[in-house]
Amino acid sequence: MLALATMNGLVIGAIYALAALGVSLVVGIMNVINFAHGELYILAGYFSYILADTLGMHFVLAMVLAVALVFLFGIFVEYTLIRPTYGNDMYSLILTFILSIVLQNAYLLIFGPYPNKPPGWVGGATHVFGAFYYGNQRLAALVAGAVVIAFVFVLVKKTWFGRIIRATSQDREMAELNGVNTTRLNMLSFGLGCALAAAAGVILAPVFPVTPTAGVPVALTAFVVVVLGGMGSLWGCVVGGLILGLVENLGAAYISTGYKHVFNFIILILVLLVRPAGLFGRREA
Amino acid sequence: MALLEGLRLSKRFGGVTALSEVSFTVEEGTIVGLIGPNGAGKTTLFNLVAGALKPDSGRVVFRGEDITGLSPNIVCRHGIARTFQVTRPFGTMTCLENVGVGVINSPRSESDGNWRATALHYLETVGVEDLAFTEARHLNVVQKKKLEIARALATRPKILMLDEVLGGLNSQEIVQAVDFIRRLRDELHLTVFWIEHVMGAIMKAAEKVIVLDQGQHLMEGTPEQVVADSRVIHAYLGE
Repeated sequence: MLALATMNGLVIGAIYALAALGVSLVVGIMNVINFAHGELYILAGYFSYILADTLGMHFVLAMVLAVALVFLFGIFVEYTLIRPTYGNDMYSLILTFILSIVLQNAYLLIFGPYPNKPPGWVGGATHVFGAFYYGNQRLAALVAGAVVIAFVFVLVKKTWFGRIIRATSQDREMAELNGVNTTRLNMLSFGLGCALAAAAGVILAPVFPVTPTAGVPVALTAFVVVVLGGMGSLWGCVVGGLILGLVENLGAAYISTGYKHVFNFIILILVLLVRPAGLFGRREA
Repeated sequence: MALLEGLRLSKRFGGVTALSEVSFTVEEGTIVGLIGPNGAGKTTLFNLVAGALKPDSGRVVFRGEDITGLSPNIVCRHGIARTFQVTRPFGTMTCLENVGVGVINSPRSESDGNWRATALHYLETVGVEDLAFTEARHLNVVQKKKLEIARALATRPKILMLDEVLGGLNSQEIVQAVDFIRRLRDELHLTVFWIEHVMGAIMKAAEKVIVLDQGQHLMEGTPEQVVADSRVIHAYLGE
């Protein structure tokens, strides 16, 4: 039971980390909290369901296309809803909160309350560590999550786009004075943040089917991960995501499934008591 | 000829008039000092030129082009770079990456296939190439100031605006810094617009000094004329 719960924790933890990276990116650069993050995660799940199941596309193509569509939707949201509110964080908070409700109801209207599931990538199960059989789909989700996380790390640490992201999130005015077009950067990063939610969505949808409100707990956990890991820290997102994924599943296995989300908040409170800036947060940040 | 020109610039913050109808010119290739008591409006003037603030009225003209109210990144691309009183490096990035931000966003970045070499060149120009791979937050005050100048230079400015770059330096460092800035001007064919409280340095370096007092253009002239002027002495020392 320990090994199985650990595996489950790693899979869901990787997805939390991915969702949290998107939140962290947008908060770090734009100081905007996107309350509709979870609904974008679900949107990508629906897109990949329509593309792969209804239209019969290959599942990889459907996933890539779904993420690209959510990226474009994110850019549209930034342009229409977020950009006019620069300078007032409260407005963007309220607007994205409204967006999340609108999207949830739109999903309910279009897809109904039933769970929808895009086709799996692989079938069968693998005998892990000679201890138990584990679904290949979940293992593939874990690998895919790790690959996308690695991609984000390379993007932020090694490319010019990433260096400009880091410079802008540290000192926006100074970055502008050095020629950075922060308006365009905002648009791209918001789109990228949404695309990361979408990546988490398409990876997890074949395991946990999408419903109109299934994004809420994921987004909530992503916010907790960002605070737990420390604002603006990529490693914080990864470690925080894995910790929460593990705690949730081990807690559910050994104590009770009913308290799944309570464990997260207990961990969060304990960490913040000792390290107010989060696990990897810098004091000045 | 005038490289940079301010025409009747005014800026109010609430009820406080920070600048009132201030006009000035900075001639190409010169070092122009901007002095005045605390609260005279020197930094506000810099902010209006650099695009950090928009003037309530008046215009900023750079190389014959009206740049009033453009956003800072566009102003930067026109060839105006500035440093701050308190240095503001991107702390968790290396010095090379710090300067690289300026390189990659400069108008000629297309020709910079190798941004590292270009960034290193500017670190060498200011003499901190040894620290290329050190995170900027570990630098001491003097090194941070040099880094900030290197980063500003990397944007290929025509004019470098320095805001109290000598603050916190000892007298020996000040002498070196003044020599360095004059050398920069000569070698890179720059124009320097320079806010400074260290009067000795301005006296030595500047060809022209503009004096602001309480948001007004008090006078301008050679350093000798300025220090001998009774209005300037009055503004600094009172009755």
